[in-house]
Amino acid sequence: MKISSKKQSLDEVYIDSCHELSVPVLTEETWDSLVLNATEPVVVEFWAPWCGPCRMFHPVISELAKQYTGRVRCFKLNTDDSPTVASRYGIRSIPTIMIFVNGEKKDAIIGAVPKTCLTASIDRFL
Amino acid sequence: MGTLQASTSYSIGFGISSLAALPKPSTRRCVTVAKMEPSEKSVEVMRKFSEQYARRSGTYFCMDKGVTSVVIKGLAEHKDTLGAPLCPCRHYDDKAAEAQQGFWNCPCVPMRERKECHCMLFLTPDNDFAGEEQTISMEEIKETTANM
Repeated sequence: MKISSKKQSLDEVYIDSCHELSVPVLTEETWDSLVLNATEPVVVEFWAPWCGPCRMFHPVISELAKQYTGRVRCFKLNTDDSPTVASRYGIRSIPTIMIFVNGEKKDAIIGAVPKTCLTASIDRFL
Repeated sequence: MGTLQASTSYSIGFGISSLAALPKPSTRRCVTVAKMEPSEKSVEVMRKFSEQYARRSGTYFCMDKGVTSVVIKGLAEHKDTLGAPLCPCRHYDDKAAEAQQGFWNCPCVPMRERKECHCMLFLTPDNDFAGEEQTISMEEIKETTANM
């Protein structure tokens, strides 16, 4: 990875963490209606409370939610609170990002990757 | 539906190392709903273990000690509830069985064999997120997780 692209991603990564509030939470009860029956593409961050990298990664998801407002719906799912959903989708390493289109899983991105990796994946489905 | 196998999980290491830096140290983070707090005794045990293992393996803590603190507390919580410091950065279908099996008990097999810690507790010096420290105090842990 070249230095220049690293510097670019620094700006992309640093976002005030209070913006985390803007990403709504999914549960087992709301999964079907908000993910499987959604009309727009859906991005889900699977996370856990004691996962250090997740803590770093939340602001990136918040930024995505803002960037794609009206085009993509972004959610967070706590795997400790909703273990059945996490197991159903084979979640192992956390954080994992999944992209759903028409209720179908289209992509999974594992780890606290740069925002550009996520946008590249999301853009393929718009 | 495809299942993500353990072998794919290490891509996190590459993802992380391609990032330039962290968000600023996070004492004023305002979100993240934590579950039950681990016992102070277990946090201290895992804190000491982490310092010792970092020195022994030639690895360093994350430049954002908030990440380190969260993981240490996660290990402590699993030690309290499962009897073993199961990695808090994975989802398990059966936590008790995993803790018993041991593959993901800290230091996990990938860490011991290849110095791969996807939890970012132990970072090799070439990792972009590696700080310069192999020590963390109880005060730092408390301070960086105060708002959780």
